Parts: sequence; structure tokens; C-alpha cells
Amino acid sequence: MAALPGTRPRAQRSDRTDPRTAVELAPPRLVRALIPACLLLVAAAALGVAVGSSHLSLLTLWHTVAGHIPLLPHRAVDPVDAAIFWQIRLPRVVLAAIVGAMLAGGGATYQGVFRNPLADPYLLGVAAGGGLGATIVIVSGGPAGLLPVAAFTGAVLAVALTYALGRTARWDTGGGTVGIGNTPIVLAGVAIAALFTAAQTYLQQQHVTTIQTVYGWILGQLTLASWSDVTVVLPYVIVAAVVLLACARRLDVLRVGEEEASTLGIDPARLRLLLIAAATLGTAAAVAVSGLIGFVGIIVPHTVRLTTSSSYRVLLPVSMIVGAAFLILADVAARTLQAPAEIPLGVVTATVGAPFFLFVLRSRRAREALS
Amino acid sequence: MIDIRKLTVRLGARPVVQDVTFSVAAQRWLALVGPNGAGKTTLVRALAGLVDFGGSVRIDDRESRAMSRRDLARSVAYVPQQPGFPADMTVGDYVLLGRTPHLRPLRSETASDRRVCADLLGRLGFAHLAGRRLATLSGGERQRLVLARALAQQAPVLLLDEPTSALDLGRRIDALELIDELRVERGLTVVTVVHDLTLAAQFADTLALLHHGRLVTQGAPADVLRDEVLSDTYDATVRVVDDHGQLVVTSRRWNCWATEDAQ
Repeated sequence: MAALPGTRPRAQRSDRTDPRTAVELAPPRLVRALIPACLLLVAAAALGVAVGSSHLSLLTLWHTVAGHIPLLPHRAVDPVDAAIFWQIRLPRVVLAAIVGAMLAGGGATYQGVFRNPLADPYLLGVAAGGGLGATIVIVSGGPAGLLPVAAFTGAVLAVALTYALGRTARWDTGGGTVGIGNTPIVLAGVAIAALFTAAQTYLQQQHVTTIQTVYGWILGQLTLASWSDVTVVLPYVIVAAVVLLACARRLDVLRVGEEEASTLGIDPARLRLLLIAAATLGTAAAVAVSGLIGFVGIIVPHTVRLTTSSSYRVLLPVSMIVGAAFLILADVAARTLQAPAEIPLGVVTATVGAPFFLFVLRSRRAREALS
Repeated sequence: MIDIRKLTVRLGARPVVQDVTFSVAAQRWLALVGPNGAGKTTLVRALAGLVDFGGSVRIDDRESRAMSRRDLARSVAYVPQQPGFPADMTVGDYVLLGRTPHLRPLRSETASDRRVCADLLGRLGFAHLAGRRLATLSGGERQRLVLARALAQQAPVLLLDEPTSALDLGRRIDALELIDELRVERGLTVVTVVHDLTLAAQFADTLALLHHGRLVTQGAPADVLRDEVLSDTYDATVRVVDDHGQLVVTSRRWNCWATEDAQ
């Protein structure tokens, strides 16, 4: 056939890179991001146990801990200092770490599941449900031990309702897509949160004498943290963390969209249910012992995302560690800035967190990542 | 190979694809053509397992309905019209997503998964770009990259919904040429939705013309691309011109040719 005007030869293989060119695809750089995060956590924990109304020196801390580890050289420690360390400071720091890790991990997970940067662990009604549960106990003068149980139950109930209603909502996904879209669940969450908050506000207004207690709970606190709180929360948070971390790669697949994820062999609806269930149990347990601490679930994952990696395999574990460190530090500020009074933890996380977060957002890396 | 029997898809109560029957031989290229709303995309989505359908779809003699998502993803790779490109994901991570159906539960990619993807990146011209963020890629690069991800699935069937819609004239030919090379190189069976009939005629072995959800005709390009068939289906004045053995489909304003002929 005669050469056509304007025809050019078929693209030659040599036009493109030789297939033998060595391309290295490195595994995700988890360790490089974990090291500074762990250092931050250790430093925050040390500060957390040292600082307070009675100051414990780092040397005292060392001798207190070393005294319980065989073969380590140590000196005898003042029993009062030891008691402050073991019974007051340490459980509080540990609880702050558990709650912070759970809120940050839950936030990162929901941002992935709902592919929405504004999602936080309270998105589906955990806060409103927990708030209503706690308020019912407080205004009815129920025993203090019942409060976490009621908050936990309320939180789980609210999310279960949200999920059940959102799942059955009629919603045209515009393509006969197999499975369900996210939007109805998020909208059901908005409705359920409004309903529970309305009930909570009504109860609160009817019982003005307890309003300060209710507000204190809502704004979050770790004032009465004890080892029993730790043992109550820890199992839930461990289960939740294991599930979330195990799903990290699937969350990465979800980043290209539910439909494409499903053509890659993922079941988005099942993944969503699993992650919502795990995150809800963990977050509800955290809320039950600490109240409603806001902002951690948004600011920590985004800060980690902007400074390390957007891959959930890095983002989830690092967010949990940084969230733990962040809440320990926030709690230090909460109990020292106005000592002997305590500032509500939720107030601190927002006042300390917001300026820092704005600073991170304005960094060059963030501008690139968000462009 | 793909064998489709009496495929019917309803969206709500409305049948969008009706009683479509055809097959695509192994390592061949079939282009689905037809006007907007003919059901091309829906048909491809049914093949990808994204919509419920009636009838039967067999891929390499296995009923696709009976396959798990994972199994299907190892047999069929699908590229939608507008793939998702997370702006801050890297080129390397994006291609590795294609290995998802091959991973053992709860496991990450192995060294061999990474090698498969690294080879593909090299083959498709991303040798030194594995660390680049997707936001920085051009339209042509994105098109090649999504192809790399689909090929990482190592599925024998490749479904592409309008692979060239975002590309300019020259890049369209490049993209289709690349798909054709890869088809031969890897023995792929390719099904594409193509709007440009002239391009479809150049690359596909078979065209299947859909209209109102039904298969109007299928066959070699020269058999499908006929003036009266296209004019009817597209409700336009269409003429197929033979340009040195190459079919070129042109469309004109109404009655243009009628006036010329009358003179």
C-alpha cells in the first residue's frame, strides 16, 4: 500500500523505555515515619508523668520504673512519689494515649472509608449517642460507675441506627451500582446526631442543676483516670486497632473509588461495615471514659498525611502513635495551665491544635499535596 | 474469550441493554460503538461485574456470575471512562493497586508483585517516574498509567470504556497503538467503547453496533460501517469514505449531500 500523506510509522518499541530498565518499587516507608512518631510519644509520655502539681524529676521516674525491672540498678524512691507515679500519673498518661490513638485512628479510617477529608470519628453519631447516654445517667443521679456504660451504649446504638437507616435508604447511585453509596449513611448520621443531640439538650435544660457536670463530660476530661478505666477501654481499642490496621491496604485501594476498588476484587460495602463496626466500638469505649474530645480525629491524621505519606499503611499506624502523643501533651496543658483547676481537654485540643494545624496547612508540602 | 448470551441490564424498571448476544474470540479486539445512551457503557460495566444483569456472560468458559470478585478481577481488568486519580498518590503505589486481586488475605505486595509492576512501569515509559504524584501527570500519562494498573492485574480480558476521550488527535492514535501492541504482546482479549468510528475501524477486529440497548449489527468494520446503517442509528447524515483502503466516517449537516446530488 502506498504511503499515505501524513502517515507516520507505527510507534517503535525503542521510542519507549527499554523494559529491562531497572525500576525499583520500594515498599511503603513505614519505619522511616514510625521512628520520629515513637520518639515523640516517648517524650510526651515522659513529660506527662513528670509534670503536675507535684513535680517528679526524670531521675525519680527512672528509679521508680527501674525498681520494678529486675537487674536494673536503682535507688529507693519516696513512696509518695512512687504512688503519684503509679496510681495517678501513669494511668492518666496511658489512658490519654489510648484515647488519642483511637480517635486519631478512627478519624483517619473514616476519612478513608467516606473519602471525605472532613470525616471524623464522630461522623456517624458516636458523640451524640454517647452524650445522650451520659446525660441520662447524670440528670437521673445514677451511680458514677454507670456513666461509661451508658455513654458506650448510647454511642453504639446511635451508629447502629445510622447504619441500618442509611443502608436501607433509597438512593439512586446513577448507574445501578452493586452495593450502596456512602451518601445515605452520612446523611442518616447527620439526622441521627441531630435527633440524639435534641434529646440530650432537652434533658439538660430540664435539669439545670446538673448542667455543669454534663458540660464537663461533653468537653472531655481525664481527671479521674484510673487503671480500671484503662482495663475497660483497652480490649475494645486493641480489637479496633487490629482491624483498622489490617484493612489499611484495602483503604488504599478504596482511594480510587468504590467502583474501581470493586473491580480490583474488594467488596466496598463489606469493608465499610467492618471498619465502621471496629471504629465505633473503639471510639465509643474511648468516649465512655474521656467524654467528647474533639478535633484529634481531624487534625492528627491530616498532619500526618501532610508530613509523611497519604498511604493508609503509613497513615494509620503513624496517626495512632501521634494521636497518643498529642492527647498526652494536651492533657498536660489541661491540668497545668490553670492549676490547680483543669481546663476541659476538648478546649485544649482545639486551642492548641487549631493554630498548629493551620501552620501545617500553610507549609510548602501541604500546598503541593492539596494542589 | 468472552461469550455473551441474551445479556439484559435494567436500571430501575428501564431496560438499558436488551438481549445482546455476541462473542469475542481470544486475543481479538472488539469495539462497542453506537450513539449516546445506546447502552455501551452499561454493557461493559456488566462484563466488569458492576451491575446486575440477566442472561449469561462466560469468560474463558466460566460463568462470570459464579466468580468471586477476586476471581473476576483476575480474569477481567476494567478501566472506566473517568478513573479515579488520588492527587497525592504516587505513580508506583497506583500501579501496585492492580496487584490487589493477587494478594493473599491481609498480606502486602511481595517482591514478585513489585517486580511485575516495575516491569510495567518501565514498559509504559514511567521508568523514572515511580515516585511522582498523580497530580503532576498529563492526560496522556494518566491514560498510560491506568493501563499499567489494569495490566498489573494480569487478567486475560481488558475492558476499556472510552480510553481516548481525554486525549488529543495524536495521543489517541498513540494510546490505541499501545493497547494494540500490548494485546499482541500479552495475548489480551480487548473490548473497548469507542465513539470515534474511524479510529474503531482502524484498530478493532470486530465492531458491535448498539442502539437503544439492542445489538443492531456486528462484524468486520467494513460490514458495520455502512452509510445507511450509521445514518439510521445515529439519526444523522453519515457517509463512509474509503481513503486509500482506510474507512473514514464523516457526518454532515442535514441534507448537505442531498442538495449536492440534486445539482
